[in-house]
Amino acid sequence: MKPLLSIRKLTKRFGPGCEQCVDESRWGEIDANACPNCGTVWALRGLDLDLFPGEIVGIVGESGAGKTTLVDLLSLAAVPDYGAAHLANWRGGLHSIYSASDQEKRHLSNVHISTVYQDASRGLLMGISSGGNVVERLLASGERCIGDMRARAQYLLDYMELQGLMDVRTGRLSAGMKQRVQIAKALVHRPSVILFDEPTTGLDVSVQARTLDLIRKAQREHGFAALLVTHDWNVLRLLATRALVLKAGRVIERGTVEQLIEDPQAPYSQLLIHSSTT
Amino acid sequence: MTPATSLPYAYLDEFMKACVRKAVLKAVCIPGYQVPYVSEEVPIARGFGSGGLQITLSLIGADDVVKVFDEGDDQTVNAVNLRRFIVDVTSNATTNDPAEATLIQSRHRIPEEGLRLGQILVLQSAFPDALRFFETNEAVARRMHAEADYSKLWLRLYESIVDNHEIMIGGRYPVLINGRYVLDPTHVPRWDLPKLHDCSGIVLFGAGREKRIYAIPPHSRVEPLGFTDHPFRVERFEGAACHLCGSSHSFLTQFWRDDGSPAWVCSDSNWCEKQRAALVQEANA
Repeated sequence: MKPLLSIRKLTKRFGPGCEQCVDESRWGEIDANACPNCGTVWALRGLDLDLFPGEIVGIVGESGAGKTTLVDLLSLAAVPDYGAAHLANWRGGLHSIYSASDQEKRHLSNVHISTVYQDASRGLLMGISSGGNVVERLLASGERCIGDMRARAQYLLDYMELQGLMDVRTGRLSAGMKQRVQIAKALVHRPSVILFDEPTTGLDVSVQARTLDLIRKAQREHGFAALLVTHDWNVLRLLATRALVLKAGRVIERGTVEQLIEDPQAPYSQLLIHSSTT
Repeated sequence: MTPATSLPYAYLDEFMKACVRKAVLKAVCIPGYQVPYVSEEVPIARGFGSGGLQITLSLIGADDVVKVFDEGDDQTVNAVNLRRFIVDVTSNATTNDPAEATLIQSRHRIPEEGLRLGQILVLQSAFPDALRFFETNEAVARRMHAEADYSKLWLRLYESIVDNHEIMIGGRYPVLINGRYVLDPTHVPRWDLPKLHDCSGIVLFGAGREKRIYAIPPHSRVEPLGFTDHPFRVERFEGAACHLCGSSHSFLTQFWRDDGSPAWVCSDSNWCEKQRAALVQEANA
């Protein structure tokens, strides 16, 4: 099967880099984000990943491991220093999404690659109704019929169990509701890829469970592929099929979620799993 | 009163006039684009029409006939002040009749009969950027204009329809020029926007405080934003008519009589006078 999104050697650094840390073959020696020699922070180092249609891949790792940088890069909010990402249904997958012009990038992140942020205010306009937030995506792609757009937004908000809240200002909704508005907004163009950046962190347990159920239901029915960034192994177990463990910007282990939970190989993965189950 | 001899004709020095004219030329060449310019001090406070006044003073020639009006009225304080200042520094002829004028400076209104070939309408603009409602960062807003990223503007119209079942934006109704830039037509009422489409005259907008000039060149395609199922509509005055001239097909403003009853009057005072004169003529004939 052909991958939907294929990411190659994705690298992002903050700083000039020195001879020691720019050399790819010596990356194994550097165990931290920051180069001990020049202090350059390597948020992501040479990440390779193939995302296949309809699967959910988990990204785990502690704070500073490069999870959010990965989301920023794939949502086109940032540009990598090195590496490429090819999306199969954009220009036949022949060009990296980073070669797109700014306008094309806006189209890509509006239609093809949606993002659900942990902080809802990054993804939503709080002064606008929840329906308006969903409709904004349709407006951005040139739709001009209020009736059609409202019907679509209504369907998605009902789907996310937000009945009757379409014309309520988003800022007045609860945190769990805001996350569901974000998911409805992400679904509006039937994107091929959705990036979930810790979508349920900070929600209380019952709301979290409900939201995860809805994500799973939406994934089954809409068939998008997703990257799910989280530190919670329980979330992974529920949604993802396979996962990557990141540390200091590098992938240190990858495998199915069962494998990783039952039999983590790298010492760091073992630490991560044991600390979360206790 | 004769112009003060120590001042150059039309108050601004030649260098300053050249700066403003250059900006005006560029604005006419790129319809709807906001051209930054050096906003000179004029003896009018910023926000009282200083931008419009600078354009008027830069473009005025010895045979120009000037009309200044404000809220459609020739006798409001601001209009009288600006007109008096222009006459003081130029000695040009003034008129209240837009048909006779070659240079019209206005706030809020476009003359009810529209513009003809050879006329220049200068509008005093307070906020030149239609995106200012959502984006306070100038650099970001300019990038949005450059990329024609106007979805947030459309969202504003959507929200207005959700709240009121129709678009209830009174002034600053966004209009699309030649299918490219969205322009803020200042506080011109919706009633006047259709007159801007394929207009024979030149419309210039001057924002003195914000230091921007933008323009609608003659015969531009001007489309007020609207949805296919909620199109742009002008204000409606159902059953209302001007209590002076009886007109029901002009832009009306409401006022309250001494006994507390409501009444309507034409916003464009000169147009109202002409209507009344025509009525008198009809009655005599």
